[in-house]
Amino acid sequence: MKDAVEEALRVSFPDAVEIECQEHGGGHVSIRVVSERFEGLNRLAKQRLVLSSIKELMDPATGVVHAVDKIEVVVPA
Amino acid sequence: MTELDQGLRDELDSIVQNHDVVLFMKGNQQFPQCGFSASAVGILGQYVDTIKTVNVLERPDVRAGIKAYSDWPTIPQLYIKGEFMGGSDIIREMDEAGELADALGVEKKTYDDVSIDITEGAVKAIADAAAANPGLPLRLEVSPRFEYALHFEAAKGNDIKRTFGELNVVLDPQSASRADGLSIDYVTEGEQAGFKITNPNEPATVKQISPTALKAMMDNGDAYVVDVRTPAEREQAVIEGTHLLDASLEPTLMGMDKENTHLVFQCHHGGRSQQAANYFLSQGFKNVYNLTGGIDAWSQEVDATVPRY
Repeated sequence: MKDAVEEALRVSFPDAVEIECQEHGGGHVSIRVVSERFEGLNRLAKQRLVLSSIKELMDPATGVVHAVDKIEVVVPA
Repeated sequence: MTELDQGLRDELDSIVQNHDVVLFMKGNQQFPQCGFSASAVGILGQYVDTIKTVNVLERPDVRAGIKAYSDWPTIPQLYIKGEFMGGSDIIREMDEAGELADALGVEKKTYDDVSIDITEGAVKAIADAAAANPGLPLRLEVSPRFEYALHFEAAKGNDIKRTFGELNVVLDPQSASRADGLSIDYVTEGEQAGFKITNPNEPATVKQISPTALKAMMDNGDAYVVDVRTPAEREQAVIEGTHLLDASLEPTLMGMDKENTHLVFQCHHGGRSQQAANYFLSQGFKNVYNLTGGIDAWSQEVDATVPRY
């Protein structure tokens, strides 16, 4: 699951300095992405960008990801 | 993603536009059914007393529909003044950044004037355990369901602190919001001794009453006892002074003083009467009792002339 999530994120954030997914069991994950694309976006828009890139993995019927416990989005310094 | 039909879209439009603060969640404010929903209501409760909640576990159509409506894959979901704010993660971040007060238009509550009491007896009873945990305050936790926990744990930044003699007590803000007027005593009853917590913030519940205790209440004229059995069962056996619950009695009951009437429900063994008691509790009665063991127990404990069947 970690690999699938990180792969999907790399497709959406080809510029990302850092992409990390941690699994917590039971389909729960935490995600960290460091990318220029978050510059100037509000909290909601940042999280939407991340969630939309793993949308298929979160499909209640077919996805493997049940919940994202934490999303950390960072604009590189 | 599920398609959203127009009827449901209209309903969701109406919900988020007619309430300033709406949380789509699993469970409700008192009984959140998932950790993320619990976290969200816990944080929001520090700003506003009541929020409009929609329990998606009771509405499978809304559970799927709200995800499409907001284009957001998870529950809970918060709307403020018709605008989608985000899920539990964002609610927590906004709280920590001080942005939630602006969004909600109210200041975060402070709990500086929350008053709790721990009696001398209780402080003494805790003293040994306190001595075994030097330097640590006693943490008192009150869950949304009013379950209590006491343990020794280091204070955190936003804790509310109180001191009783040698004993330091801390509460987190969410516990404090449910603790004003709470008292902890140490009581001995016969061979048994233990802590007794009374908390005026606890919602009313159906109290179980024994036949002997009910007899005393009835002798004092303090109880209005409702028999929820069938008329046929009443012909077989009846407790003198009880009232048959039928269509004509219900409006009479509803017209009673809900704050002060002591309503007792009784059936054969205590099962059906529990259901009835729960219903009248939900209608706002504050003093609702269920006769434990029903008329059968009454016959054995109080009045053997009442036939058993």
